[in-house]
Amino acid sequence: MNLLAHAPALAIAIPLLAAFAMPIASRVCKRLPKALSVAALAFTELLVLSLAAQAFSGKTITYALGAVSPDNVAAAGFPVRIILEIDALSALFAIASATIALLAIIYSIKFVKDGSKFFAAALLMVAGMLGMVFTGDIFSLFVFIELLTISSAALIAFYSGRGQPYEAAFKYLVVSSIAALMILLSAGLFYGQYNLLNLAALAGVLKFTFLDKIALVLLTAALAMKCGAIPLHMWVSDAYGEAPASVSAMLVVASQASLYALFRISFILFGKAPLIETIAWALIVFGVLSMFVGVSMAIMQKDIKRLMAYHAVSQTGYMLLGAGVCLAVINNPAALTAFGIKAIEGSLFHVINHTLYKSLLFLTAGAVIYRLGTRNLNEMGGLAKKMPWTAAFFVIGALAIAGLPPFNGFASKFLLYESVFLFSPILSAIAMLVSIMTLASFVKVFYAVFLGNEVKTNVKEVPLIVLAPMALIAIAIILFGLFPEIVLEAIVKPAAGALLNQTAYTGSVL
Amino acid sequence: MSNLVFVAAAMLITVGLYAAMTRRNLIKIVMAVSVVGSGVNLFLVGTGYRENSIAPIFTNAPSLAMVMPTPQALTLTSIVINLAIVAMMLSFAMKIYQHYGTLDSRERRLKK
Amino acid sequence: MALIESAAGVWDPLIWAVAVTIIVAFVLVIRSFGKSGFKNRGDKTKPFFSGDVVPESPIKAGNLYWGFFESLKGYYAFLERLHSGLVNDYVYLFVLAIVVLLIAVFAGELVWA
Repeated sequence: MNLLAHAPALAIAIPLLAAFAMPIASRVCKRLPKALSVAALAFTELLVLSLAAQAFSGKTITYALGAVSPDNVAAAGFPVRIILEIDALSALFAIASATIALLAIIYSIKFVKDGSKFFAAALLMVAGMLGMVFTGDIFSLFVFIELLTISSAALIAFYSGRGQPYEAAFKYLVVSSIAALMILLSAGLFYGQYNLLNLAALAGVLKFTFLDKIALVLLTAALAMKCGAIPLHMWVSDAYGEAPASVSAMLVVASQASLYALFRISFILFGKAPLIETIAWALIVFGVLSMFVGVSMAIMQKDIKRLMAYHAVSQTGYMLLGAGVCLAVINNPAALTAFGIKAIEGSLFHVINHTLYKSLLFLTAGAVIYRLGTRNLNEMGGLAKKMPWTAAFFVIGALAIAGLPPFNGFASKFLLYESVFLFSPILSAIAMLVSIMTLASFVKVFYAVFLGNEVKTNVKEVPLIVLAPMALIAIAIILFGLFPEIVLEAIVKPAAGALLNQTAYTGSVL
Repeated sequence: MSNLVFVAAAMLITVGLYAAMTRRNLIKIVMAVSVVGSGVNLFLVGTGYRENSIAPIFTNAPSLAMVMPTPQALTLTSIVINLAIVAMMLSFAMKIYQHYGTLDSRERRLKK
Repeated sequence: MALIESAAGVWDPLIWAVAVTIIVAFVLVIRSFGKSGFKNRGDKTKPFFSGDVVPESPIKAGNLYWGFFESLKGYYAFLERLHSGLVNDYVYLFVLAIVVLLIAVFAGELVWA
């Protein structure tokens, strides 16, 4: 059996199988679950990288599940099976999910006592994320979103002993399941009219009837909820804030997977629609609100994780803004080449950068909370000398999220500022103002946590296995900041091209 | 008359969403989500229904006028998923009751 | 070259690094003109509080940006009302977003057409 030919299915199946092997593994040996989950994720990462290498060279990989041969995609002239479809855009999000999940799992080895349950849920989460970015049809999207929802709810409530994590998980589950049911409803609306569930096939036949418009609105609202756009962001601050640090880092990439679905659906299904301007402006409004309200909520927080959670909302706003600007000019070739392509490139580059610095910040917050035993900023202080490495990584993450050169956040924000400026100077000015407020709130965190009086004397630096994932992410942040053009040429431009070139996506199925 | 099933589904979804917006008891919110799920499932099954047709089983089929099998497969999947979601929400509600001693959604610790 | 081009300009981190190196060199040169005997103690290092009593307790994170929140009191009061933490409100906002989007889509149809 050619392993690489089945890589799309294996990348989802291996975390899934490893997750259900966890209870057996924990019976065999106490340490086996940890080793098994790291091994499974490392193998998944290799599969994703090999798929990405093909996808970034411009190939669209399709895989028909359950067919005699996986490339038997459209036997009857139209897709009848569940089809996985991987182009450069899916590959970008898949790499982000797999890499951050692997590092977050390595980070959490030290903290988790009874590993099998934690790692089983974490592996299910990875399967859900990869499934969401690989799937080519709208019903599997629903299934993978629910897989992701259930496993992440279990992880959010993982630290028992306090009531708050259960409350956060309950709220997350209520809103996510309602959002997912709306996605299922829109799948039913499409199926009832066209007898199709495949996105690529749907894009060809969509007639924009009354029911189609309702379905598209439901999809947009549900996915905006899942990626945490204001005013649908309420669950984000609860869930990210109460989850264990490594889970918060994984939730960041999970919400990016929803962002992928939002981008894919708004570009492929709306692409030629008469209502494209409306949806583009909806994304822009979501983006601007998320940026501004997110950061102004963040600056007043006293809980370190909750503060960072609001920043995650705020940074998602930048990506929505870039995508909205590109979508607004998609039928205007002159404007598209002038700034539209740059806007979506900036947006996708920001996805990569955001996953890196946001997960680094959550991991440093986890290290601080682990050593101090409190998450209240008013009760912290004086850690810079005791935990120099954590402090250094925090500074790198904070400067990157604030968009200061030479860190990676600046490179993507630079693309966004200047392309959005050509579309509307006011939006660009808001984006810059938000960056300044981001810096202000991280100055507050740095002052409160690392400077000032020592609140606890017997604090040590966290162990090496906790520092190592943080160090890897910090190095990536600096390298991506110093050599942005390599990332841009190798990853971001193919991904933006794949998003804009709808015929390549639809043509590979039909 | 054939649209009755869609009207019923829409009503179930509306009732569920309304209850989720207005009821303060966590168990009732779980019930609301479950009702929304039932409405969506009913809608899915309804899309595949054809009048005067039989279940899509080809063995010894008296006629070839069958209902669509795909929506039924989708519904089955979605019922299982909804069951898992509802079970999980109920267990969280139980845990919240253990910690806070109340099931009122207004008694919350996470705000702002 | 580590150069990226945006719609309106270019950004090169390496040129930036060279510029920063030159600026730091200048700063160090200017700093070397300073008096070597300067002692960092006494009243001159104390914060200036316009004649008010200097607070004794350390300044906590919650004390920072007091003026910012004071001047935006109304805005923050609104945000706190919005972030009620009620799970019912979360569903309400979701339904509201769907309704607003539906209105926007069907009204937008008339406007763009």
